[in-house]
Amino acid sequence: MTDDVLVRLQRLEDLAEIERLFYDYRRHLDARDLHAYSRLFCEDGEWSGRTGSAVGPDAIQAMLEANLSPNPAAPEATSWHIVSNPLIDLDGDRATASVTWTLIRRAHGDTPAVALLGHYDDVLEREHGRWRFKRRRAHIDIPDNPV
Amino acid sequence: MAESIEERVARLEDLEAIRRLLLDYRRYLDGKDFHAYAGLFAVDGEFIGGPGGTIRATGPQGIFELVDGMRGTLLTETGGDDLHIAVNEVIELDGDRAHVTSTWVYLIRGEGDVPEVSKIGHYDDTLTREDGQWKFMARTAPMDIPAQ
Repeated sequence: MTDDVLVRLQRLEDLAEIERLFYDYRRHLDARDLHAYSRLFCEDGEWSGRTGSAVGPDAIQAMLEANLSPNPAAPEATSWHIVSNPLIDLDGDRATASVTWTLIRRAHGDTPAVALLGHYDDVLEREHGRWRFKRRRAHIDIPDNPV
Repeated sequence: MAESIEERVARLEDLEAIRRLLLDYRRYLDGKDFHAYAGLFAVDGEFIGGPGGTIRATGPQGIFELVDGMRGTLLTETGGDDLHIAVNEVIELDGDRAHVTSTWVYLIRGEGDVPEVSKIGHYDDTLTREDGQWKFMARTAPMDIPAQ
């Protein structure tokens, strides 16, 4: 009985922690805290997307430092990620997930414009007691040929 | 010492109650139910917005008067013509207090009756548990685009 309740409780905690991981990801990304961002990946975690791919927190941080334009703190910031609709399937210490993302950018006339729509395909793993990205693939869905 | 089952359940309940508070906020705001909106603030709760935090009010009555005065200026005159989307909340619990950051997107009925993304900003919140209910102790709502 108690074991069963513990399993159910752990499942809810896992879902909450993974959702929080997704929000920490976009928070650190938009704040350009690339060190904190890269530590959200497993020691052999992989990020892949339009700007390339990298394995491990140090390599992921270096890749983003080389490729990402600055996004100084608001109100100077130029772009904001919004992540939504997390679908999480738990399987013990592993999980798979998909998440949609929207990039809103400061456009001409200092107005917000939806610049990109995409989704993430994720594999997550519990590493040292914390959920981390084992693999995150970032896909752009609109437009077909981003500038 | 490991957390008890009761403490772990209470933590999940707090997270869920706080998410509900954030959703009620936008629901009452967009529904122009400003009394219910103001009731989400603690007795001495504070709203801080505008350039440099110059738009501010304290306590539910003061906050009601402030937001009611935004009709036709910072908010549309009638419900259904504007919509807040509140997303990506990061909640840090600390007993009967909590700190939360989240993002807001403000959409309006634009020219030609099409939806228009009008503004984007974020919330920095301090919450307090008052009479068993999570309330806003301080909600700061800076706008990010357009720049203030």
